[in-house]
Amino acid sequence: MKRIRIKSETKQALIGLFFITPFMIGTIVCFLYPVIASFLLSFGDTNKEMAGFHINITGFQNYYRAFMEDTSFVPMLLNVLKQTLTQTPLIVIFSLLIAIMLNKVKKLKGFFRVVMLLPFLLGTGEVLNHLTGQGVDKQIISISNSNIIPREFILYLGSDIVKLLDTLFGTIVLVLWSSGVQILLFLSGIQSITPSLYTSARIDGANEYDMFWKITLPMISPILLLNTIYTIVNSFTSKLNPILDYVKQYAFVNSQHGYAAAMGWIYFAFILLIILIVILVLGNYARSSGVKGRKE
Amino acid sequence: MNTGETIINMNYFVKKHDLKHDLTSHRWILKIKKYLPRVILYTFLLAISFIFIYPFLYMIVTSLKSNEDLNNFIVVWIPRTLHFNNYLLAAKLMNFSVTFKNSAITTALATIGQLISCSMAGYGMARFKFPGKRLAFFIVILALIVPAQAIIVPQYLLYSKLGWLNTYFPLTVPAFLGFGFKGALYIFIFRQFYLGLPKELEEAAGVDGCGFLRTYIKIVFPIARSAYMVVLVLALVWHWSNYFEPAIFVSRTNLRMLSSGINNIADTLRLPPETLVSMYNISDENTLNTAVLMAGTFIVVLPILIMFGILQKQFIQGIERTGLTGE
Repeated sequence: MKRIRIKSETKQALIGLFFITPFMIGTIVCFLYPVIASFLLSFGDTNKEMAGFHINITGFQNYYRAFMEDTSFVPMLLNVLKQTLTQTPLIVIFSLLIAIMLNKVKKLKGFFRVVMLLPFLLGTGEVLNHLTGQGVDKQIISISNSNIIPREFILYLGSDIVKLLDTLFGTIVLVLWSSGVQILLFLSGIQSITPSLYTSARIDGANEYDMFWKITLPMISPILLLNTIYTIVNSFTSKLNPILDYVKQYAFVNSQHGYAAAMGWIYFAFILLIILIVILVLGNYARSSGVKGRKE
Repeated sequence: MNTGETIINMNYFVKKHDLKHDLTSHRWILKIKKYLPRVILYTFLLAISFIFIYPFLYMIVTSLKSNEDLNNFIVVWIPRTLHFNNYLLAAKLMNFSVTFKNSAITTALATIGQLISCSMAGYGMARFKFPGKRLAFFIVILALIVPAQAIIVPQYLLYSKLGWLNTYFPLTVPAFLGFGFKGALYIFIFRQFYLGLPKELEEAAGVDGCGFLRTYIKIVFPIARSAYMVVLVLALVWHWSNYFEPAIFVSRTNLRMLSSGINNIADTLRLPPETLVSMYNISDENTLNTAVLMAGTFIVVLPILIMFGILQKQFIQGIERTGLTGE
């Protein structure tokens, strides 16, 4: 008996390894090799005299340059981080609120779900870039060109406040456009909570507000984490993220490979820091609230 | 009975204090109290829906406008004359017949590659015990959060050494190896799905003497349809709109992607009108304008819209069933 069990365990392992073989090859060729090479490269530069890929290690020169000499990189990085730090919570909160509202709706539910996914189809590439280039995101809810608000009131507010409100609404529109998939994930999470939890809470005298904080939010905390990370990862490849074009410019037009790699790694370091904080905070919350009673 | 009682009670209350009010007005208040939250909810959701639909309306309406309509502030929603010519012009500037084919081929190949390799990797990680299983999952998470910017340079140097630049290999081969654009996310989705899927069916097949490969193709694949649908739609949308890697690995004009064609239009828009007339044989009457640019963006989006129209039901149901949202 014992011999057969060991044999079946090895067999299991072999089958498992078979299924991840493409992935393992990919890990080495498409991931580990570029990661290690790029990391080394960020401490040096490619050797232009020798053909092929040879790295001359020069130490922290590239990092020094990014922080001390390049006048446009640090402001841009701070700007992108500011964007990530404001938009990610906004996207998560807005999509949660909309998902809660959609869950209360009976008629038109299918229509709303499809409509809210539409901007996702625009992608985060050239189409979105040219639409925002036209100012489409800012003109939907615009104070300055609107006919709803009287002109006198706009004049009374002053141009600074009107401009501020316009950018605020523009941000909200962009946030809504990029929360389609998150809304859907939250919605299916809310739907999978057992209704009996709400029933017993109601018997105990809880109101809607209590039930949101004590039942809904703890139950969907794993999705909260998933959505936050999804949102952050999605913002990497957005055309609206200027770091992408900046790195591309240095790597492939100015062909300063080492410097481009260093900038990529600095960006990654900050993103990693944000993600780790998110995992720490939300992960703790998810664990402490004890997710039980999910409908299967 | 209950509601009737309260109304009578209220009526008594009203009679005592204000004789002018009658029973019907109170019914109204009760009705408003009952329906008002729902009305507010629907109004709000419809208003938000407008924000979601707006970019498409804007694209379609603007793309059909003439130059005069664009400059006329009174014309907002309905163009005075419909200029379908804008679409012909946009398609010409985007080199549509070539770039559409390129985009379609790379998107299809990369999506198929990721469906095969990512589902296999996700299945292997969820179902079997093997040495380095935790490490493999750790690499998936790492690959998910390492941005493309950080590793693009060695990738470029590697592909140039292999002679793969200006071919579709850099865009499709990694997809067959579980990587490619957002490949790690798909592995994550498949793994979550298979973790939530009961094992019994596969075990029964194994007892009946079905080999693991046959079990995978004949039994697991049909059950996992919803997960495949989710990944299919996500991968199609993202590969279609991906611009970063194609712009770096593929630079030759006749190999470019459809979405990069919009930049062609935008660049042409910036040229002085005289060159436009000589280069593209465009008469002064309908010189290039933003309407053509919007026609271009709509041409890019349209295939994705059609695809989503066909698959939306399965996609939305799929997200609810993949177990992404449950543990």
